[in-house]
Amino acid sequence: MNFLDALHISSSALSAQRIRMNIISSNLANANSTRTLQGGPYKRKDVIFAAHQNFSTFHHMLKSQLQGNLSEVKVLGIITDPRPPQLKYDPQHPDANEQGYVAIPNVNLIEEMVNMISATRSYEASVAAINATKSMVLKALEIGR
Amino acid sequence: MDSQGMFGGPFFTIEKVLGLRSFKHNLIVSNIANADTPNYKAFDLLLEQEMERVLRTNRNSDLMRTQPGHLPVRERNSEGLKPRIVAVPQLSPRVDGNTVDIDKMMAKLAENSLMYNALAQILSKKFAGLKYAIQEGKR
Repeated sequence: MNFLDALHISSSALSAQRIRMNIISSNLANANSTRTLQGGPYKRKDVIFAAHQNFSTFHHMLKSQLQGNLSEVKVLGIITDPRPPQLKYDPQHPDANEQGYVAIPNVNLIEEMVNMISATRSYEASVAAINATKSMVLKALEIGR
Repeated sequence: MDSQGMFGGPFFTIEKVLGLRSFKHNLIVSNIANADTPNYKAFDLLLEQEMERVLRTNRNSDLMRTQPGHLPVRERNSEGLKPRIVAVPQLSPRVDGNTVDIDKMMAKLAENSLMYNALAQILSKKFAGLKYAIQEGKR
């Protein structure tokens, strides 16, 4: 069904943006964590989005050939930012090295806040799209009443 | 589908355009959903331009006028309506290779769903008119 496709696509975007938001929250919350289970300071995480077309069944394959270009969003994975940790001079800190420097996470607060706003806006855009779809479906159901 | 009879003509055109509008809606929604996907290319359905073209080429189906004072009556048929899917040209370059302009897409979403709702309303009224004619005729 045509409109269910639109809803599926929008909802995939909603869940992808929510995962991105969770990751950003985790980065912000751990901006000062110097110890992790893996050892060393917390490392910044990021999500990878990919446009996804479902080719799992014949039905999906046929539909994508007939209509084309309709793709959902898929979260391919969560990566760790390879940038090195920042060094802060704090000799009193228990995790300080011999020179008195503490390795603190490679999280840039400004970057995270910008990402957060971007994720919020994208989420809102998808919600607006869902509302538009809903109003169109309701209008279509009114035909012939 | 037969384009003649009680449910032909305008019904046929509205039905066809409703279908195309809903497909365009799907395309726009897909673009909005992938606004943050790297290397995603935005697509659009050239519906308005195509309808203009069809109206221009189908001019010869106008009713003939026997007096110059008569108002022109135009048969608007939708024969040959085949809109194309095109990639949206990228106006502001982005580092991630994505070509979605979210502001434009939201505007298109609003415009398209308004047009869909308007068409659905027109179709609804057309049915209501038929119903009225049927019910009042037997009195």
